[in-house]
Amino acid sequence: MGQLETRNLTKIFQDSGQEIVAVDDLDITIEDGEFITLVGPSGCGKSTTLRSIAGLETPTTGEVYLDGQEITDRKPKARDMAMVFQSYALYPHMTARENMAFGLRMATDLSAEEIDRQVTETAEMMEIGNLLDKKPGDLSGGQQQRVALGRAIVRDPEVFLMDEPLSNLDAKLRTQMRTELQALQQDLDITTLYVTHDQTEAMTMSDRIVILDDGRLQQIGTPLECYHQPVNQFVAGFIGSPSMNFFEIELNTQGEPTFVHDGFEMKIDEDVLTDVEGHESLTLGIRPEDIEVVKADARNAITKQVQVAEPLGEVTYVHLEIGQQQCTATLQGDLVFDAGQTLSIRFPQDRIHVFDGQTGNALRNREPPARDDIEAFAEGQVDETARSDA
Amino acid sequence: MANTDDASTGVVQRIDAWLDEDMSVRRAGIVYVVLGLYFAFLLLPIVYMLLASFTSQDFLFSPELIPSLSDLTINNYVSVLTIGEFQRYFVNSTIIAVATTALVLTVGILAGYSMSRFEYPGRRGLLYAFLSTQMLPIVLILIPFFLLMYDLNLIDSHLGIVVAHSVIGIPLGTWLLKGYIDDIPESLDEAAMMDGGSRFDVLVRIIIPLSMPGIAVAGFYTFILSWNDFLLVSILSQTEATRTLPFGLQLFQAQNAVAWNLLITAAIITMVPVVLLFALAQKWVVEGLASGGMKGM
Repeated sequence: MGQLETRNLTKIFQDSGQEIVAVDDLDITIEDGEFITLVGPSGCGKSTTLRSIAGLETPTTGEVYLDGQEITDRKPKARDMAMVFQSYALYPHMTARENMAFGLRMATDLSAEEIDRQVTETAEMMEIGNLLDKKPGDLSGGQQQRVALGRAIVRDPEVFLMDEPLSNLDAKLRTQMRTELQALQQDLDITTLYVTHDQTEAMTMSDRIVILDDGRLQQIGTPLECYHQPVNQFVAGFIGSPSMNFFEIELNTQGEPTFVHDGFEMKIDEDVLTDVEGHESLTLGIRPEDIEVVKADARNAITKQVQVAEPLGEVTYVHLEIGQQQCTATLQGDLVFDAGQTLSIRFPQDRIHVFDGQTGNALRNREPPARDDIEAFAEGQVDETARSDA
Repeated sequence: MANTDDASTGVVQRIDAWLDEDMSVRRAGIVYVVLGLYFAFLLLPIVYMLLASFTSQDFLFSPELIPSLSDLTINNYVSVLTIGEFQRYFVNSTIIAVATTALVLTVGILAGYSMSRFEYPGRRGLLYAFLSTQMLPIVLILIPFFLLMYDLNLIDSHLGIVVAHSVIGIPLGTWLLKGYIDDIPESLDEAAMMDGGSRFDVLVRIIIPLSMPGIAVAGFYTFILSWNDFLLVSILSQTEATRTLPFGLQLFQAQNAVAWNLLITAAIITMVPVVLLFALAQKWVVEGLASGGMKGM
C-alpha cells in the first residue's frame, strides 16, 4: 500500500527577516499506485512539497500521512520512500553496484548475497547490468540516470519521489526515458510523485496532475481535464503549448450580446451569455489550435495581417496582432502563410473559455471532447476519403 | 608625441609576444638555468646538511667542502640515536603530533560538516571567531596562555601540549574542511538519508570518503604544525618527560661548545618523518590543495 496524503501542508521560509510562503495550505490525496505530477512555474513550491513529503524539509504546519499513519515528523529513512534527484546524486566514490546496494545495506538486514542478487536483477531490468562495476564519473548522463532509477527501484519502496529527474537529459533521451519511466511505473505499480516544470512530461506521464502556483493549489485533475476544463486563467495559460490566447473583453448587452475588444467584436449566443452575465470584467481565452480560418465576410470573422509564420511541417504557428495583443494560431501545415498577408480567423463559440477578469476563475470552458467516438471518427474519415475519391 | 605612447604599449606587447613564443632551445635553456638557481637556493643547504650528518666534527671544521669517501661515517647517527633523551624526545614528538592530528581532524570534520550543512544562531560569528584566532601572533598570547594552562594543571603534560597545538590547528582545519565539504553537493546527503542512512552514516560513508584530499591537507598541516612547534613546547614543557624534538635539539648545544655534527644529524632525523609523511600523502595533498572540489569524480 502507498496511499499518500497531505493535510493543510504549509512551509514558510525565513529569509533575512522576511517570510516566504513556499507552500500554502496544501491538501492532496494520492491513491495507491497512482502517478501524480506536481507541476508549476519555478518557485511555485512543488519541490518544497516533495521534500516535505520526503522528510527533507519540516513543514511549518500541516501533516503528511502514509496509509493513514501520520509521518510528518519521521526521519526520511523511516518513511519507506525512495527519491530520484535532478542531479541523480549518485555517490561518486562508489561503483554503480555499490550505489544501488547502499539503500539495501542501510535500511534492511538482508545478507550480502541477497542484496547482490536483487541489485543484479534490477540492473538487468534497467539494462545496466554491464555498467555495474563502473563509477558514476565513467557513465554518461543517461546511464547515470538509469543507475539513479535503479537505486530507487531496488529498494521496493511504498512511494517513489522524483524531483525533475529528466531535466538534465538531452531532448531525445528525455522523450525515450519518459516513455520508459511510465511503462516502469505501470509495471511496478508503486505510488509515484513526480515534480517537473515541463508540462509535456506532466501531460504525458501522469494519471493526475497537480498544478501549483505561488505555493497554492490551482487544480488537481487528469491531464485532459486540466487541459480542456481549467479552473482558472493560470491553469489555462500554463497547460498547453503554445499557450492559450487571452483577450480582455467587455460584455455589451445593448442589442445583440457582444464581446468587445480593442481589436475585434464577437457576437455571442444565449448560452455563453448566461454563463458570463453579471461579471464586470472578463477575459476571453482560446487555444491556438481551436482558432479557425474563415472567409472575410463570415460571422465574427477577425481580419488581420500575419506578422510571423512559423512552419513546423505538421502545423504552422501564425502570429497576428489583435488590438495590440499577440495572438497565436496553430493552423494546418499544408497551408502556406507569408508575413504581411491578410488572414481572417474566428474563435468558435463552442471552443472559447471565459474567465472572470478579477479573480481569474473560469466562468465557461469549452465542451470536453467525447472520448468514446473513435468509431464515429473513423467512419467520418471513410466519408472524407469517399468524397475526395468522387 | 605619438612615439612615447607606442613605446609604453610596445613594452607590454613585447612581453606579451615574448610569453607567447614557442619553446626554443635557447628559451628552454634560460628556463632551466632560472629554475636551477632557484632550487639551488632552496635545496643546497639541505644537501649540505645531509652531507654534514655523515662527516665528523673535525671535517666540518676543516677547510674542505666536499668530503671524500673515507671521510664519510655513520657514527653521528649511532651516537644520536643511542642518546636516551633523544629517543624519548622522538617518542614524545610522535605521541603529541599524532594525538594533535587526530583531535584536530575529529573536531574539524564534525565542526566543518556542521558549519557547511546546518543553519544555527551564531554559526557565522563562530566562523569569524575561528578565523580571528589566526590573526594573533602566538607570542602575544603566550603568557596568558601559560597562566590558563597553569590553572588547568596542564603544564608539563602531553595533554597540555596537544591541547595547545589543537588551539592553533582546529580553526584552520575546520575552515579548510568546511570549504571542502561545501563543494560536496547536499543532494548526496539527502540521497543517503532517503536510502536509510542516519546523519552519522552520511558523515562516515559519504562525506569523509569524498573529503579525503581535504582531510589529507588538514592532517598534514596539523602534523607539521605540531611536530615543528618550538614556542609553545618551550613554555609548556618543564621536564624531560614532555620535551619534543625541536626543543630537544638544544641538547646538543652546551654552554661553550656546539656539537655541530650531532646537531645536524638530529635535525635530519627530525625532518625524516615529515618528508615520509608527505611522500605518503602527496597525491591527496596536491589534489586537495589544487582543486578543493569534486572535479574528476
